Amino acid sequence: MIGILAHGLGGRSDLPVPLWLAVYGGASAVVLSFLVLGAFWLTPKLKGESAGRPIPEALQRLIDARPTRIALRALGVLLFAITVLAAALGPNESATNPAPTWLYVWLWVGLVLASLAFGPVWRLLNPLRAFSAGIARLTGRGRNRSVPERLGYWPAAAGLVVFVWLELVFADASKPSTVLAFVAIYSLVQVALALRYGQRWYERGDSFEVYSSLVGRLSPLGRRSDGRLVVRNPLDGLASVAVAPGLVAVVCVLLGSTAFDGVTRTQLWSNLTRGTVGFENIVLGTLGLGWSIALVAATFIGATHLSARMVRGSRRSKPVTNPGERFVHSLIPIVVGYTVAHYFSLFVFQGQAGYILASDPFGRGWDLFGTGDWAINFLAVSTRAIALVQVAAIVTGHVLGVVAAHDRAVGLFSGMDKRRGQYALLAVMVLYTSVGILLLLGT
Amino acid sequence: MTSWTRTLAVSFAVLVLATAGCASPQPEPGPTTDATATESPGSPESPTPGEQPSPRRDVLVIEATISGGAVQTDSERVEVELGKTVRLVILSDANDELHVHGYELKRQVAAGEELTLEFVADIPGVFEVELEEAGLHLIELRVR
Repeated sequence: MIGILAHGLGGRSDLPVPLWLAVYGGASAVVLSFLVLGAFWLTPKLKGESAGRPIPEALQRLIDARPTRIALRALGVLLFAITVLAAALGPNESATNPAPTWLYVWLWVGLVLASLAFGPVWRLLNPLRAFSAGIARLTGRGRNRSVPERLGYWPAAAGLVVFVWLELVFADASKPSTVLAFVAIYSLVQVALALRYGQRWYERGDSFEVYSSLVGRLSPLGRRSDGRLVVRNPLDGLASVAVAPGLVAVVCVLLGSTAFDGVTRTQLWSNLTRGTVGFENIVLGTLGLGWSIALVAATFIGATHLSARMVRGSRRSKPVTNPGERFVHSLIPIVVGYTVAHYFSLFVFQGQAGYILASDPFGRGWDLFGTGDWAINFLAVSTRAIALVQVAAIVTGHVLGVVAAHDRAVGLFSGMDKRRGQYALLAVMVLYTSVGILLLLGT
Repeated sequence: MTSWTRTLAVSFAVLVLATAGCASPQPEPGPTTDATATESPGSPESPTPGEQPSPRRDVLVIEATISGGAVQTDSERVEVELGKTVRLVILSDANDELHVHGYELKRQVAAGEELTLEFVADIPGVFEVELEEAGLHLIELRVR
């Protein structure tokens, strides 16, 4: 039987949110959706990469300075090295080895929160960039061949599938040996590809960098098209997501996997998996994860095509090609909402293990930072506050998504179609939000 | 900020405040009634005659018997009131290690010997009780 925590870290999961809170959350999501649909602007307001108020020039010079960049990269390499060493040399137990917590909590969840606050931070920290740049310089290899355009984000999507499968389906996900194997293989593949295609490979090919960059679009801090760092409306950043083949897949994998993580915590799932063992669990988990991603993809692509078809009949609007790609940015806030709702408590509780265990990363009885005898403080945040954060995250993500989709629709469609063209996607977003809230209720 | 973002922000804030405002006077109406909850308020009928001659009144006793990899319990999910004492009574036909996740309590279970583990449920949340080596899920504690 799969435990209540698929990734096996933490040992604590959230209580169901109070019913009244779920009802208010769901209702406000629906009401706000119709407000956006009906009462707001009819020409696109979002200016994408040309928007924003510049930050002081001195601050930008500091952020963009070469020493700052080198320091950040060195920090990334250092964190990578310690994680690999801890995973390799420390005890093979997530309760005493910090590596699993660092990968699944600090990196995987922390990446979202840091990118949300500061933009695409992983790009600056990414240790793999340092490795491939170093090897390229030493060997003179790795001249920039351009990455084939048709690959787009597909490699990142594939990497994400592997990672979420490992995290959510594989029974020994939290074992340091699993962490070591994943980090080693993933890094080798990425560095090899970067040596073949040049450093630009990471922008579209590295799952973590792609994830960080997509979420970073929602940050109030961004870079304008003229290179200035600006404070901007997160929705402007969102509207400027670089579309390429495979982007829809990336977003659907992220949303589908988080939804699946929610499903595995429900009574329904534990009834389904009661009495099953090892191999059966892997099969069930794989099917569940696959279905979850496929359902998200099918509903989203279906809705955007339906929108495009609904307006095709009218002569006013130009035909819309690739409607999925036109609207996929609007799912990113929903992805972030789901992620915060599902992993907020893991981050604040299990995240503490990251610095508690850091005192003795190799299991030698060290106490480097004097945190060795600390215990996770499970009372740091009340269950009421967690529930509030969960529902607020889902509703906020929904509203931002609806606004982003609305702005895109009024730019793409004309006349009556501006509104008609939004119905299908709006319905799907309400569906995602209701499912998200139901999953919070059904745990 | 343009006017429409302000309007949106304001309407959102109003809704959130309305939510919070309506929420606070309500004294938690025991919302999600879990049909499988088997919390027995009052005294549990002395379950372990040999070990605990007089069970205290505020103790929630949860028994689980494991034989041939199959778990027998009254309920897989047990609702526990925050602060209550929980007594786990485990009887297994194989040696293993009992693990209460989150509380990080671990005890060796010897085959055929009843193990009693008592602790105060002072961390709210959902926790798994597991036989570690067999990877066998016994009970889910829902502490609130």
